[in-house]
Amino acid sequence: MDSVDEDVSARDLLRRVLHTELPRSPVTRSTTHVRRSARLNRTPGLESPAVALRHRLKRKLHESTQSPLPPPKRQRSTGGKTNPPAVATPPLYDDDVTTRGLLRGIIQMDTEASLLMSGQPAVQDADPYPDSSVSSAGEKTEGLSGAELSDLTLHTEPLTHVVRGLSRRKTQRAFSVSAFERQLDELPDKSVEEGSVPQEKQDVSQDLDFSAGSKSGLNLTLKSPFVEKRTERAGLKRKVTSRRLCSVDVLDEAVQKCLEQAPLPDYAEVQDGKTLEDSSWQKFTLGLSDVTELYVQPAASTVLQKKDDTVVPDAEMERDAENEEESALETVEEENQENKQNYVDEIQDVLDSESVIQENKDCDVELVSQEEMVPSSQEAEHSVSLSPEDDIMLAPTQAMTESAPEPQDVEEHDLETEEDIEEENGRGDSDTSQDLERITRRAHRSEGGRAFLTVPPGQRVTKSLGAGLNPREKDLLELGNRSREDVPDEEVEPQGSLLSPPLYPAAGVTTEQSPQQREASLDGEDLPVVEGTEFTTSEQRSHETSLSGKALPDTEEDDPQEVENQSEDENMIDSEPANQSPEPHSPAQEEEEEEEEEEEEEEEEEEEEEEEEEEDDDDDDAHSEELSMKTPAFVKQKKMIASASAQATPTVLKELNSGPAPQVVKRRPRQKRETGSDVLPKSYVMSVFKHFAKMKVASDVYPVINEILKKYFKRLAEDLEVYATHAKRKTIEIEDFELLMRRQRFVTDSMPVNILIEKYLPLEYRKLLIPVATSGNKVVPNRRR
Amino acid sequence: MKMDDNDAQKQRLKAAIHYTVGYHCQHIASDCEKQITKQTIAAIAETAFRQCDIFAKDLEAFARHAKRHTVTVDDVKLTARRTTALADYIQQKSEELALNNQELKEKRKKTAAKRKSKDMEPEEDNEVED
Repeated sequence: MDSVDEDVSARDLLRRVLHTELPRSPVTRSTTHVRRSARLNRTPGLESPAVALRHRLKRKLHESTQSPLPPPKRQRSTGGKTNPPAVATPPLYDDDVTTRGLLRGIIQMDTEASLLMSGQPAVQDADPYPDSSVSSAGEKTEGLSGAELSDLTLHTEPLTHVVRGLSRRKTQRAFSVSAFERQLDELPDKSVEEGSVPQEKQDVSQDLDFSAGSKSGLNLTLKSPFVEKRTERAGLKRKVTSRRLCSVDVLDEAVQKCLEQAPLPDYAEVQDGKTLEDSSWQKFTLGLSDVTELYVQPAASTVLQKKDDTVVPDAEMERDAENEEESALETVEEENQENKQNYVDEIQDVLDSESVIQENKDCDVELVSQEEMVPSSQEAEHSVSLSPEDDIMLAPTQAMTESAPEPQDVEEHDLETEEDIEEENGRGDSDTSQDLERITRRAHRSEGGRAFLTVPPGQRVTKSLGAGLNPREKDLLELGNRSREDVPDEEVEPQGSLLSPPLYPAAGVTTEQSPQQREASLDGEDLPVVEGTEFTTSEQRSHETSLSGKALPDTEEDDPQEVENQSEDENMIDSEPANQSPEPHSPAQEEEEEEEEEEEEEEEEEEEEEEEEEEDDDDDDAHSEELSMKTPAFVKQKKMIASASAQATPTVLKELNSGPAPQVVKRRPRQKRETGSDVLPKSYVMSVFKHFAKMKVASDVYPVINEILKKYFKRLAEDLEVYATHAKRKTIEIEDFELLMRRQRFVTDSMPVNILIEKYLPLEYRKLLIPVATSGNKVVPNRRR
Repeated sequence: MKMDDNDAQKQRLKAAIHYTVGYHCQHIASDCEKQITKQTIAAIAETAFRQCDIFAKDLEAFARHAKRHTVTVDDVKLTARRTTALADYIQQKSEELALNNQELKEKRKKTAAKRKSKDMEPEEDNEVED
């Protein structure tokens, strides 16, 4: 304890400071202090454990506050030996005189005082220290509180800084104190590097804790880094809650689940469905609240108009031409309709006209079929679905509710099946909607203003109430008559436009007309069916389009036809779920559209959605058809993959040649653009093309690629036929494909067919082509050799 | 050795083709009253040589596909079916060949019949001939 013996009492130090401080300038002192501190630090070996602790404290204080404390402390401890005579060593004096020295003294006093307080062994160990420290601490503490230090502070700027630093430290240490206290238990466990005097340290630390001001000093040195950091971090820490980003898919799935749980669509349950739909779809509905309010508020026939218009526009979202018409109509109509128009316009922009055309085509077909109750669908597959749709159409509200869950359920189904369902639904809806759309379009064109969407013009006429409606009625009648006759002849666009608007109002109309069917003069029976189909189709279409804006014009048309207010509720119900369904479905469908690999033509997306809805409606029928569609679709996909990669997969191509044909046939009438037969779906083709192009590919490339693909496959088939004939056979076999591959230089002397098979084909087809002795010891006899 | 022989054979074949192509090109150039460079002739000759190689492989594949060991006219027709002009030409030639073959066959039959008749009636033939 050399240092201890050599330490001078705090009072002595203070005196020295007072004596020697004046002549010196603070700047020099600071520099000297710095130097001294450096010197002091360089004498670790001479330090005792207690001294070492103090050194640390000093360093910490020095670092934190850049105050002169550490050096003085060090000097005190290390300089104990060097400072036997306080006066003899000017540096010591300097240290003492400077703020650092003062602080050091204070700290030492505090520590010593704590030591004294804690116990004698600690005190004994640091006899000189406690004595000096106590004294010094007492002096300094007193000084701090008393006038002496205050005088000193006045004289020495750094003191104030030191004081501030102290205060800061104290405050800082306050945080750490608690942490220190917590860590106190750890202190004894931890070993000091310099040679542990655990007891001393513990005592010191504990004593430090007890002491008010000194806690920070020693404790800090021991644990300050951790504690301070922790405290600081604690304040700064912000627990980032892992939030789930709700994706549209998730929402859609959730909605679907809710809808699935929803009661089955029933006439009686319409209300329930409505509520369910409202509850489940409230979030999705962009403007439903407005729509619903619109429906609720108006009590007059105008409300019906609105509803019909809103309903129909929802269905027609996709029709561009009609959108304009509808928008015009809406503007003419009441203000509420305008709001819906906005929605419609927005939706219209999003929708593809092609889809509309497709729907129109389907509608045409379906309209005719509806009359006959046999869909003249270009796709025979959908005929089955249509019939159940018809049944459902009789209860349009049900269809509404059904359509609502449909989109959700659809998402869950395979894309292929959904496609099928959509087509079916689309057809069913298109039938009714077509009539309405045609009527609206013609009415619009004729009148140049309003588009009357009426499912059965005849019925409407009888129902027409308003005087102003008369001309419309006439048009409607004409349109209705024409629609029935010209179903297959009508243009796709007008049909599409007609379809969408009437869809919703049709739905409403159907509900209204159901009791009024007797009045219907024309196609009374078909009306509900048509309406229902239209409704469903409109709903489906509305999925894509999301809002009831379109419905406005539809409602307008229906108004003249339906004056009764009873329909209001029904329309509301119908429109709401329709509106709701499209909205939540649209994002999902949009995603689906993007994600799906459409095996069929470009406009499959909308049709797919419709199919999805249809599927929900006609699960049994749809499933059967879906299954029938699934296998070819699945095979088709495989074929596409194989053809894309190897460009020649004999068996797959051969098997799948007939796959796309029926679906393509179905799509044709619907499509607005007649691209002929799309060999492969656009999405698939573009994705493959982009993959190999490794650059961005414009979408207008697809028609060219389509033509090329057509020619390629045509030549492919011709070659195969020739090869088969060359082998004096009437059936194309795998050998013909192998020859073809050889001709295409896929198979060479160095590249046998099997390797290509193994390289490109999935395991299933590979097993088909290459006989494998399975684990079950079943060798499937192959046609191959 | 074999490779060298094959290469030598190749070279000879290439030379032969080159000569023939050059001859034809000169002929056509003179008809068009234009000149043709040697590089062009060389390119055409090389292309012709490689196309012959391809033809051979295809013909072999076609023959094998028909489970035959001999390359026939049908294989050739298959090879040339895409190029309409060539296909028509080959078709004509094949028809001519077929006719010639038929004629030959008929002649053979006649001669065979004559021989038989001669044998059968050597006295008559002799009397006739005399």
